[in-house]
Amino acid sequence: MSGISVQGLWKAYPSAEDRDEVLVALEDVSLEVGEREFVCVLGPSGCGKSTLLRIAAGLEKPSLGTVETQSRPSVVFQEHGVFPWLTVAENVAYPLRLRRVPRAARRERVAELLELVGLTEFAGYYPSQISGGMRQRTSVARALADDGNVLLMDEPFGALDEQTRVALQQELLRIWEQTEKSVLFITHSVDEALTLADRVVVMSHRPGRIIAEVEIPFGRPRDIIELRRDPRYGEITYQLWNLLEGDTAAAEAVAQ
Amino acid sequence: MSTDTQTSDTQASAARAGLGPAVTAADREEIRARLASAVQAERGSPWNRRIGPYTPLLLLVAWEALSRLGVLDARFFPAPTAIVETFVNLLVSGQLVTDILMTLSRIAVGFVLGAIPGVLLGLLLGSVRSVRLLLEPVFSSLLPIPKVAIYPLLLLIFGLGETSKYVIVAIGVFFYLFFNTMSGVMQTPPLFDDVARANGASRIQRRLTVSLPYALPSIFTGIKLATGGAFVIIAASEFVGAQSGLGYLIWSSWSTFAVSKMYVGIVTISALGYGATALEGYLERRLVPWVKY
Repeated sequence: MSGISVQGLWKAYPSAEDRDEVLVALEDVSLEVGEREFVCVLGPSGCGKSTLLRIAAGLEKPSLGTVETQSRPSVVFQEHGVFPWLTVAENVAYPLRLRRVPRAARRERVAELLELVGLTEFAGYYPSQISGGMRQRTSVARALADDGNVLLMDEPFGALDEQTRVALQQELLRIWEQTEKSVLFITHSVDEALTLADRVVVMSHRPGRIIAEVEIPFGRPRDIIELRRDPRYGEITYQLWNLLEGDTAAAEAVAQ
Repeated sequence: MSTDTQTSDTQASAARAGLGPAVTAADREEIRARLASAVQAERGSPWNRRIGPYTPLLLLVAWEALSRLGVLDARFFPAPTAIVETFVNLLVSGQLVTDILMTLSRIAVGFVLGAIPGVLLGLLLGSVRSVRLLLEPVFSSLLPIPKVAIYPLLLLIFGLGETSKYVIVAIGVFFYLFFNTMSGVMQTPPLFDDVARANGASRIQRRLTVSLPYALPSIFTGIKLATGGAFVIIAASEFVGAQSGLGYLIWSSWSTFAVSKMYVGIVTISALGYGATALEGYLERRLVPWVKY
């Protein structure tokens, strides 16, 4: 079985203007994320890619179609997803606490995870006392606390500065290579998509449809900086931008 | 704004003093002194800061003097020393301690009886929209009834004993905690609820691990307001329906024209209220450490 399987998914919302109309956010989306595969969904803002993730996470229901995941997915949210009333260690322990994992086992697991994301020294800090990058590390560690093998990430590094983002991307790859997780990663950044993914799924403007799937040929493990020197990096960047631009042009033509 | 002026002033004088090519030790000393006074000016005059904490004492001294000189009518404003004397007498006789304990126990029991349902119902109505739509009008219509106005009814139902006092304090406290908890819960950003749901938290777990902590700062505001309200309610209830407590002390002093006793009661209530608020402030800093004050 694949990690995540999306079949013929549609999602519509009631229109704010006309009671009889609906607003289609996702249009017939089908995609598979294989076991231990890293798939990025790339699309312009408002294309419904976050909706896709929320449905996969079970936070929203599909209007039509099905989404299956191999296990209950763990989610890394956009910024501000860590609880301000819990310390770094308590945030990471949150899923374990919900499942009533005994205190000793919990403490041990949290220590491992903090070590993994390099936050051991900041275990007792509150989110308001640490940087945005550290908050997202906390978020990643919390998502890893569960042993499920499906990981959903919703533009987790979107709000970070460039250098912190690259550092966290590199760390994410290192961590992911140590685990056995299938990842669905939502992003609006071409660079981020092709840096991280085995396969990039490109989505169109609203209503969100899949307009292309691009295999990323780089091997593993990857060095994010070295990747920039690979001639194929420029080629794929160009290809992805063309897909997005072509869609933008089409959307504008429709609007006119 | 004033800071900017201070700084540029200092720079200008530094330029005048010939800073740059040759800075003498004396120049540095002068600049340091100017900086220090600028910082001091921003913090407020040292005189005000030193005097500030003692102004209530000055008021007492003035009161004492005016009362002794006969400017103030000593029948209504007995000299503070006379009040202290009464205070000591009441303390030694044990009456004051008894009254304090009675009032405090009524407030404590009533507080717990009102606060717990207030927080629980606030959580429920704050997080479940359908229940809120159904029940909020009930509480909103009960809110404006002056709590003291239903005391005679409570006396009929529960009699003159302690129960009627517990109940009236509980009713007053309930509303503060209920509305503050509910509004705190309703302001919870949806993202936090999503995080909990995505982690598989059940409905109850979501209320306890997200809504409750998010509402805690607002709950503490409710607790502080309720404390003030509880003292008002208990004093008024003890005026008419009790044979003990600080409210009774004040009321009985009125009927016997023992004005300094009355003041003892008033000041004691003020001190107890102050102490309660300080204790709550301490608890708040311990229980809500993620909020910066």
